[in-house]
Amino acid sequence: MERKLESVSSPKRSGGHAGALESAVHVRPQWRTKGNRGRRPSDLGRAADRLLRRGAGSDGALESVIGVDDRTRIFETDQYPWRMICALRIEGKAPDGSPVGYIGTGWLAGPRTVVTAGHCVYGAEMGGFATRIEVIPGLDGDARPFGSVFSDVLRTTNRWIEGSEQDFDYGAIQLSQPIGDDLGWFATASPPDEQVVNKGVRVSGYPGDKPSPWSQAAGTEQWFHTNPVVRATPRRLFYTVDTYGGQSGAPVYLAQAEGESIDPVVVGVHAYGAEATVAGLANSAPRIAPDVFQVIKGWIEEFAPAPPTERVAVRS
Amino acid sequence: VTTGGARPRLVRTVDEQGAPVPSALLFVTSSEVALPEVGRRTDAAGKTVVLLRAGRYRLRAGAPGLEGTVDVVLDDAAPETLTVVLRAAGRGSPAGR
Repeated sequence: MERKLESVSSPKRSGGHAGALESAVHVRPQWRTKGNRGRRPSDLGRAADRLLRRGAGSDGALESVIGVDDRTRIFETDQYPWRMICALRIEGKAPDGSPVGYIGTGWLAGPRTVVTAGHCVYGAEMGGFATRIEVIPGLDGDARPFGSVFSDVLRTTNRWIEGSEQDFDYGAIQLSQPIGDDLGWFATASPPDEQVVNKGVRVSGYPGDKPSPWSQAAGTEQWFHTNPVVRATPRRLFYTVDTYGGQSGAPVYLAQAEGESIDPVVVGVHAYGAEATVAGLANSAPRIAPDVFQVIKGWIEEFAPAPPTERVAVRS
Repeated sequence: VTTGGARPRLVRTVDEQGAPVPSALLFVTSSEVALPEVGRRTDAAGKTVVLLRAGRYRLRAGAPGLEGTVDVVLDDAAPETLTVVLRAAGRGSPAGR
């Protein structure tokens, strides 16, 4: 059963750029990006949900874990799609010059582009842009299955920099190495309300309370949860997915229903803990609105050479 | 420095003897204000700066073997420095399990 998503391409089922030539005659529309599963063939035929393990509950005392803690730990973080989600170790300088550090989450949106929250790359508390960000794909405790890469260039929006507008709190980390070619990247889309409201979304990232806030390993495990979008505005998505500090920048992506085989499609960038909405307490994300989509697409293209499909199409 | 009505607050993480706890992870939550969901690391002196406007907040911090939680109500007269005392994990803290 395939869900119809008007603004999303068919996902690539083979690894890497295999199959690229067969789609070379198609002109890529401007309103979507195409996900890439990466080159690792071991993913094929694996059902991601089988890889999940049930998590233990928490005290639920903090508001961004809404009610009972239903989060689930991802153990196979070296597998698709979890390996495309990255732990971030962010360094900056406070206005007084002292060093400051943060933990966050990001996700691969292109070969060299990791999308995250704007406040993970820029903030007054860190004296402007972060001085350095370590990007660790698929981190799992002490295991770094793909090593880590440091930020090369950071990007965010003028409206986040100048006005701290939450609706524009998204950004990107441009990497010097095209790790997405091997690990894959998420498709991104800006579907209309009817395709997101009351639909299940997943948020997967690196919460700082796992395995516990007082553990040496805090923030090194990937956890996810699925729940519906309870409210949408043109620029925000509100959902009852359980999250915690450290998951800023995590992908908010449409969840597959039982038996569905679509690849994940990111529709928001998780950024904020719970706030009261007309639909109740909910966590929220800047929404991938059409203009946001264009900005992210521009960031991807800024640092990524055109894939073979586009090069061939241009020549013809 | 103010940003959208928020003021910088110095947050210190200390142990029960008042000694700084460096590299503690700090989480700030609120039921009134949507806050960025980052985890903050205190520096070598157990300090970090958080921009907060007036309101009610929970500050929860953890370091290996230690944890602490404090609920604060901030207004314009509130002190610029907030302190989270960390105790042995699972003992003597509202958030301990």
